[in-house]
Amino acid sequence: MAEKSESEVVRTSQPQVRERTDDELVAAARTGDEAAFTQLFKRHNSLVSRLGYRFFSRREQVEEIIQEAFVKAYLALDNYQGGHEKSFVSWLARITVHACYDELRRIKKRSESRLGDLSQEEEEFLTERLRDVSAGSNVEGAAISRDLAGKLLSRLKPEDRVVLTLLKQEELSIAEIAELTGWTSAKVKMRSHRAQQGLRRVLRKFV
Amino acid sequence: MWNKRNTHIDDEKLDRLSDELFRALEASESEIDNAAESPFLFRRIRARIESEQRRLAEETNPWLALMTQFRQAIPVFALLAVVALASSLYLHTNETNKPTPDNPTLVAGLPLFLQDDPDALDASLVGWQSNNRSSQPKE
Repeated sequence: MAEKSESEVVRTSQPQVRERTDDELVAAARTGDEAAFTQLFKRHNSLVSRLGYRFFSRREQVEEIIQEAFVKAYLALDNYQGGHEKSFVSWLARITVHACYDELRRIKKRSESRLGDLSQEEEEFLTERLRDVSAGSNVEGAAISRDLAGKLLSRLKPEDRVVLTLLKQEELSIAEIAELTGWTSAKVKMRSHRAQQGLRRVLRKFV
Repeated sequence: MWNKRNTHIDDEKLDRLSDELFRALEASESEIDNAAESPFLFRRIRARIESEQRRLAEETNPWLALMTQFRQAIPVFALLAVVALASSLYLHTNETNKPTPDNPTLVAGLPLFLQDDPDALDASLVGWQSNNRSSQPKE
């Protein structure tokens, strides 16, 4: 107890260096302060990376999303309206989700997803999982499942994929998804319903 | 038979399977950090920002766009200049090789100044022609 109070005394006696808030950093970056933008990047690159991994499984794809999101954010700094503590995070998340959506659309346009790419092993795995979805998955099972999940989800429409990912992985509400995507709540609701049905259809084809 | 079996798979089971697939997609913390802290990532971002800014500036300023196009055309201009220089040098060389009283011309591939005696040149040409004729195969 005594040790704790001692360390507290040491801490309070040190000169306090207050970290600049996101809004302050944005204001500095707007005036051309490179260090401020670097600090914003260092503070939030994990958030963007995490969101990128929700949609893409390959590291290079995620790195591309990080690049795209920060470039767009930098160029749109003038449009940023702060106000509260989480403003910048929400704003950056919105930009990232849009970057992911654009990339999903590009991929979809480039090549219609490879439904036939599923190996015999993967089909068997799917059937097995459906028989007992509640069975605990081992490491090997999880590895196969990740690859398989990527293949199956690539069959969905990009907007369905966005809605389902944000609903199921990020566990966001309809209103939050609407806020992130810029779509109306009604559209998100309808999309989520269709996306769910679409995924069932995709799964039915294989099981 | 297949269709019948497929329709019997209830939605609840499929939804549970899809939940499992989404869970399987989740990346580990180390993967997330590795991508975020990838070396040179920030440098690549800076480079892209600069090129985007240049592009945007060119779009808004027609003079800048013109200058960029001009800059891109520099290699073509340089090539044209080299070709023009080479052709002018070639023409100039041909001009100086024209037969003039001061500048002897070429006869049968040999400059006249190499021949002391013009008669000897005639004789060698006649000899060369007869040699050529005799070396041709007879029909």
